[in-house]
Amino acid sequence: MNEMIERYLAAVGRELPAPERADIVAELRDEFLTQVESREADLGRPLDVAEMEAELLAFGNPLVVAGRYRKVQYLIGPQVFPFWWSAVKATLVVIAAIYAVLIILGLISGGHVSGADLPSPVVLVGVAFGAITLACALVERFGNPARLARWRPERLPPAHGKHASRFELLTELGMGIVFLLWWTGVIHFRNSVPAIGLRIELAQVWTEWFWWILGYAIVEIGSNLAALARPDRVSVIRVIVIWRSLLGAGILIGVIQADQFLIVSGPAAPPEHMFETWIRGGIGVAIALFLARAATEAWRLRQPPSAMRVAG
Amino acid sequence: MPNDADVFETLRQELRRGSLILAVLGQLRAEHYGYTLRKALSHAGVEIEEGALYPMLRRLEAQGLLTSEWREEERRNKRFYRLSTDGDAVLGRLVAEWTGLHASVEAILGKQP
Repeated sequence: MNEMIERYLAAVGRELPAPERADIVAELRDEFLTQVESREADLGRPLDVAEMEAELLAFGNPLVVAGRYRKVQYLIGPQVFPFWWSAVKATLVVIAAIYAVLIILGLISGGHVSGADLPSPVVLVGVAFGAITLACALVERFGNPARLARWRPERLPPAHGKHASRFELLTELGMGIVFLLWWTGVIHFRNSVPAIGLRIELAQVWTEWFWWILGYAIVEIGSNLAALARPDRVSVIRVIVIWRSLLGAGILIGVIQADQFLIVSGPAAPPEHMFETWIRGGIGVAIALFLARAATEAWRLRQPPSAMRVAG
Repeated sequence: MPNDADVFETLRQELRRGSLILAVLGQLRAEHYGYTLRKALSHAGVEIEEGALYPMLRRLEAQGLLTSEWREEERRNKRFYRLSTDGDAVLGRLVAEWTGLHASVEAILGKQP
């Protein structure tokens, strides 16, 4: 009978912090034995094995009993939880946007484009989830959760008015990240189709404009991050978007002057002029879109603040 | 979906949580070891599981509100707890808070809708 009690107390003790283990176990032993003695006095006889087991069961699961002595009772508390949840949602949108771009590129190319160097989405989501949870748990444990919740009413985004939603900004951020990773060579897309002997490479013009395009990609990611961090700075963000769009249009106006955009080779290569026409048309559309965006944002910027608030 | 009994039980536990500390501090104006403290609280109508009581006693002691000492009684070593001087002062403030809150809630509940 005593052996059962000692096994129980040892199981509790194993889960307790070492410096306090002996002290807590001694106190629990006394409590339990006192309870048993009281029960035996009521019954007028010693407890049998089944009754002793019932007493131990009522005392609680050793893991739960020991767990109540731990200083840390939860990983992320109610003050930090909203920030954890918001960060998880935003990260999931960015990751979804990254893989949506890859899937769309794969479909367009008939399954011959893939971000082979990226981890699987499940792994990426798992790592992101773990990293956010760890960061929030560290803030909960060692940081100042109340400080995290400090905010200023003037930094809230306008209630009305046409401005990008968080979802749009996060999606654009995800796509921008995919582009930057590809452009800098961190991830590779397969550019050959061995089965039909087709190989596609970027022409010299893209190398000539490499740093400009890289700069544009960084500015785009930066401006989206700024818009996410300070949604109240509507005018500043509009100015950044105008200059960013003009920069994009300028780069593409420079690129479109080239004679060749892609080098298509292999026995099964279709006529190159067909590719060039498509690409030239696509670049032309992109220039128009950049200019239209710059013009739209400039027009919105000129609207009086009261009209922006009311009209949207 | 939680049923009415679950909802009531959750609310009841939330309501009791803060009051238990007050009851424990109040009871420890006289010295007790764990078992007799539980019995005294139970006698006064405040039930508390040993799994909740002992960690609470440690926390309150670590906060300087209780003192404790091991002493032999009834052929066994037992840990006796008592309200410290700081604990007594904190208890006084908590009782004032409790009394004010109780009066406010009473006034609200006593109002005709």
